[in-house]
Amino acid sequence: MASNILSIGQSALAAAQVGISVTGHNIANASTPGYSRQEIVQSTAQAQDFGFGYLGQGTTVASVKRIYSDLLAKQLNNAQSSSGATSAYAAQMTQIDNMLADPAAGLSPSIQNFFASIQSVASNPGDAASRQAALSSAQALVARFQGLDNRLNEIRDSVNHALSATTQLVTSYAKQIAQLNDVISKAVGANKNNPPNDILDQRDKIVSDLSKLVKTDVYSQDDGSYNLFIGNGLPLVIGNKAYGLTTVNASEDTGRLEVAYVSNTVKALGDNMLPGGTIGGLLQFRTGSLDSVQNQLGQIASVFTQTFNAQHKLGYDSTGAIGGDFFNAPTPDVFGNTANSVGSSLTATITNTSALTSSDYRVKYDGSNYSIYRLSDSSVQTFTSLPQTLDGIAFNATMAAGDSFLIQPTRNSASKLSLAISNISKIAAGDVTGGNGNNRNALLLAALQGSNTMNNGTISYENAFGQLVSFVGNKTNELKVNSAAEDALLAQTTAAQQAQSGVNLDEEATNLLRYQQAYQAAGKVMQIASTMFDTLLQLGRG
Amino acid sequence: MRISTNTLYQNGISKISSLQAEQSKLQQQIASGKRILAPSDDPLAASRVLQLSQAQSLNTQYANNRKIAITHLSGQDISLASINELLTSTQTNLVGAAGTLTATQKTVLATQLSGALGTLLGLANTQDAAGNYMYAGFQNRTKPFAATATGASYTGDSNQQLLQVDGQRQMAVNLPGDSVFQAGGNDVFTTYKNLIDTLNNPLSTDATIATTVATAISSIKDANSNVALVRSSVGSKLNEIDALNDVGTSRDIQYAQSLSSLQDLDYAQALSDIAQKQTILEAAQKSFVKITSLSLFDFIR
Repeated sequence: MASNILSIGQSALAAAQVGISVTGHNIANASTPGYSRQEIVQSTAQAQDFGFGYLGQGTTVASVKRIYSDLLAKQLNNAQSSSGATSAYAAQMTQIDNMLADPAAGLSPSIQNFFASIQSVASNPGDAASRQAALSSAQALVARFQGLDNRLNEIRDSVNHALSATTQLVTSYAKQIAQLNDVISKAVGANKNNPPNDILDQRDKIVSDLSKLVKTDVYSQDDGSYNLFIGNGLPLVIGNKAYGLTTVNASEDTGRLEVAYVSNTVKALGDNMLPGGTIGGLLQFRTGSLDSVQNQLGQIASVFTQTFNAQHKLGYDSTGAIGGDFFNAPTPDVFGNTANSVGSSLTATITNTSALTSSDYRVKYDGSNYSIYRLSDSSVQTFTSLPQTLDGIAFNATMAAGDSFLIQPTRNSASKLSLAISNISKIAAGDVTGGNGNNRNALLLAALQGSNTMNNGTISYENAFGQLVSFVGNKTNELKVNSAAEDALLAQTTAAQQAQSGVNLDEEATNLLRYQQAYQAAGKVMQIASTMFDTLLQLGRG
Repeated sequence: MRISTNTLYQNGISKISSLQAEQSKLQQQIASGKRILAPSDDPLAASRVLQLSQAQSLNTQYANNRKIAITHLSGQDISLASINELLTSTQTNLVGAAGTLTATQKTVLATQLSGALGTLLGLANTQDAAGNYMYAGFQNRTKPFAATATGASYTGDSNQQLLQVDGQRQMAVNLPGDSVFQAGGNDVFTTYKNLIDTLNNPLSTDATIATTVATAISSIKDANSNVALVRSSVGSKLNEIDALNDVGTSRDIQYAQSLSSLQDLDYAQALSDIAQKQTILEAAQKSFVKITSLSLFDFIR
């Protein structure tokens, strides 16, 4: 009987020891990211029938389990994806917002200075100093256009860079999860009842990190492994097999990196295939805002140079010669698909600046019809032959069936802009009448500032820039608000998840005391068992 | 409800850092005096500011153009006054010379008239501060009037230089010489020269001289009233510019006020906000320290 008491005490002592060690593990990992607190699953040992009844045989530790909820983890991952997308979008957009923050550094003051100098020429058409000032301020305006566009191109480069870095990270996470799947399925195979808690935490942490980069769906398998699908259902990890993402040059615009899926082959994904997460946010930013902002800036540059040139060419310069181009007007960029037939070509010429939009276009030929897609609103017009004019652009092409071209009429216009004249006598301030005091064309040039030259005669250059600023401001504002909401949701979900799985040090302190006392009590039981045994021995001696 | 120790710290940090971000923004606003630091702060106002600053800049440009117009017009006013004076004095001389003239009187008159003609040519070839000829139309680099055997030739043109003196107003700021000295076929130089030649010609009869003097008086009188007319139009242009200046100035004040109300910071509000944030931040920091310094471990001996 005494030996039985001793072993009961010993089982309690062992359980308390396990309890203290699990508590210590919790304390040690209280701030480990992704750690779920653990607790011991304790139960009574098999009781023994002694004839007079069942007598308990002490305690046993069945397993150590982690406190983890699939549902909360899934909610947290979803919140990570949404917040990752919005904050990536907002971070990029804020850069454009900041670029336009100082009104003095925007386009408006440069346009104003330029036209003020043209007014000066109108007031003193024969004055060399006024003419020189007009050329200088024209140069400053060109530099401002280029400066703004260069900044946008830097942001574009940083998007490319971020996409290539994030896709590498996704691939690396996929490999790690596949490896952990392997380890976990082996451990679960060996003993289904004792889960490898810390490795499970490690894997869930990587899934959570992955969710920040791209929307991830997790499907648990019976063997303990995870199957992961990203975006709109692309398999990323199946058991111990990992796939990945990479970046490839776009088939048309080769300066643009697109995200591609790597399995046996590498396949470029459309921008809509990967919603959510940093990748989704970056792609959304690029198609939804960056392209649009740069196109709008380019549209102002294109319309400004072409309308100014057109009026300048109606005038006569100081030598009595008819005016030429004042600026070198930017021309549309045309990109042939890399799969196009040999000898295919397309030309796009801006013929009506007033009708010009800030959209990009795609022209496809199916062997009998040419389809011109306006990408901003996905509208399409079909023609049986070219040339055709759409939105102020004349399209002409030699194409075989299946060929496709991307046309960016204004994307890089602001960078491509330059001054066409350097000699002050080439400023066509006068009209055909001639004369040193002839300022008739200068007056008409100056009047362009307030003329509604853009968007079918509805707005002036500066108002178009105002619209651009307002677009950027509204979008950034919207993203800030959304981002704050997403952050709050993420914080709530994190708190809910942590409320269940996180370590509370006070709680662990309590557990520590509890197991310590259990340990002491078990020791006491053993001590009593020992005393009882001593009593028996004493009997023999007495 | 169960709360993890991590959450306790996370909550404290995120609240404090968001308060610090709000403070830093207020600080930036106060330092710059601007309510809008980036277009996203108030997109509508940001684009309105651009519109207003364009309007304001144009308004300033028109004001500058008006200054140039005033320089031109007041130069013409002074020059026209001299021409008017000269023509009036010739007119007086000629009226005094009515009746039969002696040979000496003829010579004296002819000499006087030659002098006046020279002066008049000089005035017709007046240059402005920039060195441009005032009465030359667009050909303001070339001397417009040159003496000829019959008077003077005009090499300028009849074009008027317009200046944009207001949004919808272009004003002519030069006077082509032909419209001042040769208006309506009445060429004042020819009149002078013809009279001088007649006086100097020994073969001229008294009757011829008398007729020529009478014609000259009438011609010079007409020319003078044309000059007076031109001068009065210059005067009314100057008056119009004064009026436009008044409008321009008040417009400028309006624009400045609108711009200020759109983008300038309400300092009283901002300073009160920053004091309020300060209090909240201090409270948040104190409570954070208090909460996190509580630990059961402190009581385990």
